[in-house]
Amino acid sequence: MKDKIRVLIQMRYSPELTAATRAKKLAAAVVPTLKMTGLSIDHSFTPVQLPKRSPREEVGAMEVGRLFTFDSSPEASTYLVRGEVEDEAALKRLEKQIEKDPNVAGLFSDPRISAIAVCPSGPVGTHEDVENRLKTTTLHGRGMDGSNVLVAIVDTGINMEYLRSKGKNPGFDAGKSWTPAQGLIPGSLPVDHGTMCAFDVCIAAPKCTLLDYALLLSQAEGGSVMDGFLSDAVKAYSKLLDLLTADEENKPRLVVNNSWGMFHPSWDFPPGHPGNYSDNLNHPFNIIVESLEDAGADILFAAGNCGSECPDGRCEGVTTRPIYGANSHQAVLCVAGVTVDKVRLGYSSQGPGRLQQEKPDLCAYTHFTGSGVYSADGGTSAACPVATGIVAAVRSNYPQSAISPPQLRNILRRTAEDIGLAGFDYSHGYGVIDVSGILDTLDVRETRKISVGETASGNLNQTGATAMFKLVVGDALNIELDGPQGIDFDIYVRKGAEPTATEYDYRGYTGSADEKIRIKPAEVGEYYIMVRSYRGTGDFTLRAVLE
Amino acid sequence: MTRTLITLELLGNENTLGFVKQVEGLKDLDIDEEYGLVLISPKKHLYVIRVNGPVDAEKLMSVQPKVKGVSADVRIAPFNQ
Repeated sequence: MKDKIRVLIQMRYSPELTAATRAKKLAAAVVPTLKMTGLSIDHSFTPVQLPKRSPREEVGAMEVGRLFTFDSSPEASTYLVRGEVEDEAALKRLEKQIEKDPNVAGLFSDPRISAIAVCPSGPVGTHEDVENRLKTTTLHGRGMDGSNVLVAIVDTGINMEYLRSKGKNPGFDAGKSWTPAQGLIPGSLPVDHGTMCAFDVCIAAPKCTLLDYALLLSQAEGGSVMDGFLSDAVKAYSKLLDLLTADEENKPRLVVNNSWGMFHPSWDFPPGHPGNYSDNLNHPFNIIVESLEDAGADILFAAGNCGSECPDGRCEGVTTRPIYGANSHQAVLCVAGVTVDKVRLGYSSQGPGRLQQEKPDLCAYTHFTGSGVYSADGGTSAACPVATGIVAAVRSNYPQSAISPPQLRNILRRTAEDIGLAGFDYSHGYGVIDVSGILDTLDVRETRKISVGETASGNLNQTGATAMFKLVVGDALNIELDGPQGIDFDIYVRKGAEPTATEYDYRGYTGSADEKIRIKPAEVGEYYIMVRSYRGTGDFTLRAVLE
Repeated sequence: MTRTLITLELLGNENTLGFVKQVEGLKDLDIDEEYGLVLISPKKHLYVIRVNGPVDAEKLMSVQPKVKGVSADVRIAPFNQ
């Protein structure tokens, strides 16, 4: 049977509604105007009072980002009641009815929310869906495509011919690649897990240069042909460290993908043993991870496939704190998995991490039809290279000298789209990797200095684009923005820190591209100015004048 | 066969496998020469060797101050589905 459609109805004030907010049930008589065939009001839901929100007429210097005032008086407030309609036709009838009902202020969906996870048997979506979610067209249009970036696939080896047959044509550097044994040819290894990872990196970074680090072909005794040992990982990382330290003046941009790890504590010495890996920052592999990141590499690790809802068999039922060792290192980005519908995969390992508790860091997409190596590019194995591709794409424009690996990890965490519980949670980290948020933050980071009296120029090439300026002020000042007709640019000013669209001290927001802000008296200090396109594109000039 | 990773602090010209092989406490171990001496922290002058067979970590660290750790060579696997 098809589910009913749940709705929230925003009612205007009535004494009965105000009284109902203090009652435990909603009497039918309180909302007489909502009688309609196909609509049933939830009388167990106590109406929720919503204060009236009004734009502030003046935002003071110390009232950063507060755009609205709120009136909680009963008469000014509105009230949310909950109900459900039978079907789409009933919803349309309700919409028409409330349009004419002066007692109703609005109608909203009441979507189901819960910390759900899925354990799908087949793929969910395709790699084209992932491209759309990652806004790769926008990324690539801004030159963020992996150009001039080395991406090391530390895995089972990659097969370049297969990648090309699937339409992926990244660069490849055999000379900078590594295998754990002689006779293995980098880039020409059997099509398997590593090739899937390489394909998924190329979703966001199609012009990167791949390095093949076929670590998982070392073949551990008692394991499968795709297992390895940490000693080989130490060796692989020492080669990567050589790449970054050989020539400090021409340090390459290096991103390292690791879709592997431990599945069960029995693979390790017990916690507390001095030779333990999982919980011990002094294990040699954890030390070299820290060294490689310190040398300038961006390192990404998959969270693992020991999530509580549908763990991999190799987890042997252990789903508590299964993010072991380097996968939970503070120097790496730990990636969990969601479907293209942003629903967590039940196999995606949950925190807290063993080395750093606040893991995983974020989620990326997985379990989609992609490389064709398997029926789905799945596991956190695929989520990790999807995120690696984004990091590589960003690095095309922002080398480590501009944004250090820890800074970039912070940007990725801070801009992630929050899902699951509000803020960080151990199932989703900070949320799903969000390219729009990353780009906005990177735009804000480009701060140009401007002097009082100087006219600066610039260009905003898309709605939502920004340009940042820094002004050192010694007295009262006026700031003037002059832009093209028919579009809308705004100015945001903040003393001592870069403003955002929500955090600022002063804002000019007419409906045009011409703005003027008068700050009087201006305190001595540094003022940051952001010009933001609210609507449209074009050139502008910016000028600050002391009175 | 059990394999172990041994972390060493090696200063100046000590960073050769030849030097390591004659260090007291290490010279009697079955050092994997093919694996070699691997730099893991340039800033802290830390290196790793791999040895075959069991190692008495407590005894080794008590007799040889250059040994900074005796660690597990853990099995790892891809997170495929």
